[in-house]
Amino acid sequence: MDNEPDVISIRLTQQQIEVLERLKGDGQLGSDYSEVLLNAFRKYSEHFLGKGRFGNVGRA
Amino acid sequence: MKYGTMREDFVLQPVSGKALPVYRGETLRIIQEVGGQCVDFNCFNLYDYKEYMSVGHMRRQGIRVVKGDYVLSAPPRSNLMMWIAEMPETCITDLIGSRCSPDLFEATWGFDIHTNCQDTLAESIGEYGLSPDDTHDSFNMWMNTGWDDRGRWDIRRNTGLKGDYVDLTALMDVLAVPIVCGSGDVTGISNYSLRPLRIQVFEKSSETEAAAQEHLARFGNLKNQRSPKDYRIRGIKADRKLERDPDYEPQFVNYPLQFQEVEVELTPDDRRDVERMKARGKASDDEDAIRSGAFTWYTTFNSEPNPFSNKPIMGN
Repeated sequence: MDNEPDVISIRLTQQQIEVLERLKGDGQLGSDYSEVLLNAFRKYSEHFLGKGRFGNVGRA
Repeated sequence: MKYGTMREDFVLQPVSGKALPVYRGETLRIIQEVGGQCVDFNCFNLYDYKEYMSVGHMRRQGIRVVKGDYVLSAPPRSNLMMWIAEMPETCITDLIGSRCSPDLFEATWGFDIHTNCQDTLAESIGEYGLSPDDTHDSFNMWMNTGWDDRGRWDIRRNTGLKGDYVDLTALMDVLAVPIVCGSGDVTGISNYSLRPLRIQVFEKSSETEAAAQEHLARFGNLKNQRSPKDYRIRGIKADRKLERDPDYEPQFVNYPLQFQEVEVELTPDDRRDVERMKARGKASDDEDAIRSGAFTWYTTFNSEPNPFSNKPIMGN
């Protein structure tokens, strides 16, 4: 069980998809919606979950 | 900033008001003739009275607008009407208390007739054929209200000093309506008296016109600053009664809304962060955590400051 991929399906509105499309166009967070969404989440974690104190800075 | 020649200079005695055109680049100055007097203010597009100031949308700049903020018109127009070019710190503004009205004084203190901002605004705009129904929520200057965490308000001492003034520079041609607030003798809003105000209008100068162009270049060219030519229903309804149009089909925006599923594969670090969000009450489930986290980051760090939502939305 531990080796199974930890996959989550996220339901997004077409307007949220439009945001991902723009971010994808910027090329900073990834080249597909999945990458962009997860990297935006990691940015949030860095800024709001105190990642620096736990040694995870710079992972995203 | 250097203004043009003064073309209006008169005193509003208590309790009165005046509707007067102020053209783009011109500056309306409202002066405390004695001090301590609350001012109520309405504003219309000079060429289309259906476009008028929206205090509710001005509140997005802050419930107390200050020097540098804007007088905005209601959506879908959403235009910059005036710019607060000067405002002293002694002018505490209020965008919540609205305007006093005759019913208030009757219900609260038993006055059959008492001076009030609703009637003063209505009498002022009547000069331009507008009715009492055309008055709107007022932008209140020198109105020192306080608000507690439950949303209850109280009135604090008026801090306006003799000679204090507010300058509003027009960014479009407007009908500006400054008035002497009529409640101040039975409330503390004007320190239990009613006092005159001086009103001046300065013609535009090259500096004010350049400033107007700069403001409008920044925030005056949005596709969604709409005008009646963009409306499906363009006419002004002439009769008062509301009746249903059985053939009317609403065209809601992006309706029906489309949804799309996006799959993400979490690393152990991601999983720990998702669990941390849930434990802190910032997400109800895994999906919510990823979605809320990603879009909190987006809205916090990718929002442009603007008068329609002046402060970036801070994440939690």
